Amino acid sequence: MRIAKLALSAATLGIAVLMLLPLLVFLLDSARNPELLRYEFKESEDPPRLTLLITYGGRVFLSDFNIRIIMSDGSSINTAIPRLEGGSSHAIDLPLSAEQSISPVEIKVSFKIASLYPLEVDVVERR
Amino acid sequence: MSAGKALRAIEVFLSGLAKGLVLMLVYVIAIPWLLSYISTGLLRAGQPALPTLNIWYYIALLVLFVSLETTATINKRNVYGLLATALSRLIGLSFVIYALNGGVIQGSMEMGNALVLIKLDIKPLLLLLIAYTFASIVLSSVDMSYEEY
Repeated sequence: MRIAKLALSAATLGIAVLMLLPLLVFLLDSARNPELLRYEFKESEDPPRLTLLITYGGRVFLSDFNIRIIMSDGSSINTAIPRLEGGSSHAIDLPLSAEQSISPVEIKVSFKIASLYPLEVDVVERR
Repeated sequence: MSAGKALRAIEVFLSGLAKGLVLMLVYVIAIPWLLSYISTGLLRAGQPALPTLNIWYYIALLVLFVSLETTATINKRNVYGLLATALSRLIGLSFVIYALNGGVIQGSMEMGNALVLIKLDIKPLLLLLIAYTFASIVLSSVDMSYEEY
């Protein structure tokens, strides 16, 4: 029975370390690099579109990456990236209708750190 | 009371006190505070959203842990001991779940003229803790039934 208890404790410790590692690495990367996950908008007039450039400089992969951009007129655009590897960049073209204002006021980003820990970031621009 | 019995009583109490203090340290202080401080601190999202409990709640929790662990040590070979062990672990687990807001750590910060709200879900770690707590209770009951034979 002592062996079973020891095995359970060792297995739990091992699994806990394996599960904690991606979270800790992501949080440490985030502390070291304030621009770990950077986004940048580029506007084009003809045809009206918004290009979103996402750059991720971390070491842990991010999955189920969803972005929701809320414009100043209340309309919104949704887009997704299945997997974002460390050190990669993604450019996403977001077509806009002619009447849509091209000034984003709120950006909601949600993803999972190493497919385990859901993280939601909501950036609200203040005027 | 003979000297031997008195020594045994002191030994049981000290054992309960030590186990109670360890449980208090692990469940009430280490796990919730560390996870919350690490997450919100490193994400630079303000102060961790831990419950601000009155000092008497912490003292009450400590007394509860010590009492249950002392009961568990005295009744090592019967069902009361198992119940006391299970209860102390479940109280600890409940506190962790309550302190960590059900596994969701939230924070906010100002960045230039933007307000950034962050919500981190650490439920996978809580599920691991729940699984471990239940497995240790089951192992304690199996251990006790082995000792009965």
